[in-house]
Amino acid sequence: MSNDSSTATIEESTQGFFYTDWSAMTSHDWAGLIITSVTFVLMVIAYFYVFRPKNKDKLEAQKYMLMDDEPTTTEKK
Amino acid sequence: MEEAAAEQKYNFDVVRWFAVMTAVYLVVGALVGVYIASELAWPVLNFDSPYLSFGRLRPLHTNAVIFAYGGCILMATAFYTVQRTCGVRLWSDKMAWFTFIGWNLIIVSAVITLPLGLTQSKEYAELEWPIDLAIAVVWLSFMFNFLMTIATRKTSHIYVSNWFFMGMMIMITILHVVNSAAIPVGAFKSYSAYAGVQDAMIQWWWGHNAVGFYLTAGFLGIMYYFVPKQANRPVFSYRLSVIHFWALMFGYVWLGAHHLQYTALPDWTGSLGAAVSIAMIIPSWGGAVNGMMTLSGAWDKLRNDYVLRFLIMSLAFYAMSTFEGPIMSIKTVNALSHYTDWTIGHVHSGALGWVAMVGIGALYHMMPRIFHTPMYSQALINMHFWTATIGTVIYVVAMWVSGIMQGLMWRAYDDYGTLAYTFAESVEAMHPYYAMRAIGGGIFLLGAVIMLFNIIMTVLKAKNAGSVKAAQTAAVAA
Repeated sequence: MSNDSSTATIEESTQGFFYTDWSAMTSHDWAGLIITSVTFVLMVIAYFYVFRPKNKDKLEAQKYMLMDDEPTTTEKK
Repeated sequence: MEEAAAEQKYNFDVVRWFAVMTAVYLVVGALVGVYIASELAWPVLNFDSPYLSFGRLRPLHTNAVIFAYGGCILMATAFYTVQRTCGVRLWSDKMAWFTFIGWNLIIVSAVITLPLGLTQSKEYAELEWPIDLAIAVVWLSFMFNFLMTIATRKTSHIYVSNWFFMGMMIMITILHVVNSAAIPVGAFKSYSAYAGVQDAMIQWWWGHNAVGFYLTAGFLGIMYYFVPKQANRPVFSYRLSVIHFWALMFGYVWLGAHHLQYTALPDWTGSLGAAVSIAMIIPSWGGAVNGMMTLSGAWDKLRNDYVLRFLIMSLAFYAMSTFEGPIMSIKTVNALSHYTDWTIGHVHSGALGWVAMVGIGALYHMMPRIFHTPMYSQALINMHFWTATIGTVIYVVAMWVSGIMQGLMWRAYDDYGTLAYTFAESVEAMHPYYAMRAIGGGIFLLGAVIMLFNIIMTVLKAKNAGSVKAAQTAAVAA
């Protein structure tokens, strides 16, 4: 019985924690939400691009440019 | 012959001046730091003079180490590496000299105004509004010259160190302008454009990002060029460096609120700051591992390459402090650590261990290449390495013990629910650790003096041998 009530309390508090009054969102809140979401998506794209096996050789080739004192053609076409 | 070609192709003059001033300012900044640390241990050193009081000299110390030492090594290395990685001379020599002279005049103005008590009272942004305007102009000249050099590059790819430098320049411009917005009421008096909790939020948005973009991104730019160069091996993983860069750029700006846990700031902002701080361990450690693993298969180089020792030790401190910081941002830990000396210990493990050491390593790498003569003494570089390392460890350990003891004493209650210790008792308990901190700082200062001596002797050696002039006039193949 006590377990049920504590589970219910946790559920209520969790719902309270994640509850959002969308009608009360100010322009600042919307700006923050949009920037956060866009940032998250961009990071996912960055991770995907960098760790995609297809791009490995192209990216890793750049690390050798430092070993050349007169670097010119560094990009792998 | 290669050196002569580089000397004639690139502008190393301004790099040479920035390099020497870096060594000078490290001694000045560390000296003021040791003095104010000694004041806390032995208050008689105040001499009842307002100009020597901790409150006035502390911002002088932070400005000297961050903007004088940090600024000069960032500008020296940015101008040096952007030329070498882009294969072109600086876009404008005159603008580079404007940056050098302007930045040094700003430092002089800080040395004059801060002991006089002229301050905006914003941490790490104490300088009054006319100097803030000058900082904006000089910083923009630095950024514009750097960006234009990249725009006119011969290489098709922009090496990752330049990305870190660019990220620093753009973000510091935004942070400085927003944080320093103030209403002047006199030639040397202004009030912040923000009030109350907004002012606090803006202050720590700036405060933590000065650490994140100036003292981290900028110095990572140094790391990604000088560690591979000194080790003579390409960086361990270029892909990791790309992720390191973008994660740092996207992540760091959210952290400031973790400085304001348990204040009038909305609770969720502190939680967000702590959550993103924890997430930042991933790119930070990725970067540290990337730097250290560059030595993979060549660890023996550390036996006799003293410059490489500085660079690798700095990465160890970078990894340590970027783990410690997120832990301290968690509310439960912050309840103990905040307002204590633990924070000072954390800051200095980053400042002395990471920022100072990676900059010193870069300086020792550049000196023979810009003055065209070997360093005056390798033994002194080794001695500097050990004094810097031992001094940093003593300093940091003293502050860890002191800070945790402070936190525990402040929160201790007796059976009746009253505080077990008075504040004065906690201050008294700190004395041995304050003395230990001053000694640790003194040892680090000794290392900085050794470096300055070594650098001055190297410059004199180059002057007497005419090595710079010889490189400038040598006949080189077209």
